[in-house]
Amino acid sequence: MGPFLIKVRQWAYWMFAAFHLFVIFSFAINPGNWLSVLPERIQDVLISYGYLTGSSSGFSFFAPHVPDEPMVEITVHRKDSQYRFTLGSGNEERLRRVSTMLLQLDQGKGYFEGAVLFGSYVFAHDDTATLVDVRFYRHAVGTLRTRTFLTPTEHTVYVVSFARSSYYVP
Amino acid sequence: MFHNLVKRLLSPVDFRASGDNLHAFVLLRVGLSGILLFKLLYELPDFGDLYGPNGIVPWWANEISAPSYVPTLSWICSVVNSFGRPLDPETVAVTAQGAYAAALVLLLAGHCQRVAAVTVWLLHFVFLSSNRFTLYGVDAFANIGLFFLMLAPSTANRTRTGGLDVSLWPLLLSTLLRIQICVMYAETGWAKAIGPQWWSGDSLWRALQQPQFQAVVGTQWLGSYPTVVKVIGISVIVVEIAYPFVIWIRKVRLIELILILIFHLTIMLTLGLWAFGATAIVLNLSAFGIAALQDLRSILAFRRPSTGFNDVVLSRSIPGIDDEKRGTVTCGKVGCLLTSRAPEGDELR
Repeated sequence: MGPFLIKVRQWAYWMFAAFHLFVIFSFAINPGNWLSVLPERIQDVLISYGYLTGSSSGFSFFAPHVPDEPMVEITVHRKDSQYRFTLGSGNEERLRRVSTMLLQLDQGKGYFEGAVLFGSYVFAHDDTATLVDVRFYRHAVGTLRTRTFLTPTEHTVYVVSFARSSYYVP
Repeated sequence: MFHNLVKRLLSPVDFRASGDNLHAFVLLRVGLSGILLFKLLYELPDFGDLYGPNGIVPWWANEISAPSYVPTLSWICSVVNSFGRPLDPETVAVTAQGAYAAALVLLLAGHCQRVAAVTVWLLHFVFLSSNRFTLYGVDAFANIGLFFLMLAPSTANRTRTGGLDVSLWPLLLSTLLRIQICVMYAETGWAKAIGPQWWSGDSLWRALQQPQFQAVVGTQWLGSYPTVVKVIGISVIVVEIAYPFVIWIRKVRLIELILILIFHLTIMLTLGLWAFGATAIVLNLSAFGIAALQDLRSILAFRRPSTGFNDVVLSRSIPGIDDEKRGTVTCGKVGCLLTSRAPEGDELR
């Protein structure tokens, strides 16, 4: 490789590094303000690049506070029986992913949208289900000062029922 | 004078985090692909529920919120179908999963490294976009690591050096990875510091008591020692915020790295977040592990008499040095400096 091509390649490396750093800091410092002043097309490029490379990911694990854990209990009614389960029970990774989703639903108060998803999930997997009750509740753990870990409490926040062909709220 | 002052102030700082960058990428490749492979096997029984067309979040629901330019499993399905014979969405999902597993095995073994890394990154991204509501930290960490692995020079090409290409590119990539990790810790540390819960210890306590986290090590006894919980909570903030500053300083880098590794190990044991903790540990070790190891060697070299190891490194660093000189250099500063430079010289040869 000739010296000219080496030089070009070197510059390309530096340009890439500068662009990558720009994206990292743009999203980390203040995404809204930084990006809104740019033309929409450039915003799209930056968002896509950040999304593809993970450089736009926000990292605020368990911050600034840890909320009560949202959970969902589903009761499935059949013609002559019924059963109940907690969404996410089973494999740890499954539980983790479902908990993440429930946290998002809880923060956005998207209980009804979530309930529609879970209701249709049950109907898709259980042909004999005629009615599905979806209950959102929070598992409150209390503060360190009160140390209420011995008596964890549950607060129901939303209940909705779906029949196979339509839904109704009791 | 100003130049000298700045030079003196920055003398303990090692912005290059000197180390063998290619070895760092080997560590990242083996560690990350191993974790992702294990995680894939672990998630196998729930694959349909998590990523399938009729999963807990079905494809249609994910499509509503996903940007049109982002490739998802349903996007792949429609592309495949446009070529003629329609394929069952379940088949597409399972095929993608099989290809992902195969590419991970290749990446782990170091065969067809570049192709494997690109395939893993792309398919990981597809799974990530197809299941956007359930993503958590490990997915973002893995995405970052895989992106760098995709760009990293193949470790099989070590002997085929082109001078500049081999030395600059890994160095730039490693530095970018290091900066990205620093930004990540600064961001998460700051996010914790702005709320009152981490300062009072409540956040830590509440996290430990949540039913979703199935701990290997029980933590209920901590309730009897609120001061300990408070101190741990504050130390988490301090370690995370200090990370981007302290990790570049040779003398304290090792301590900071050990603290952050303990932090992630504790997360694995007390919250059961093994994939998240392990990925974070691999990222940290890839970014700063080798440099920290060299710092440790330098520290040890200062404290003990010259050994055969130093002499060997010395002779490799400066091939022309004669036996007489090699014999006279003991464990002084020169010896340590040469020791820390040796792997880079090695890398270029």
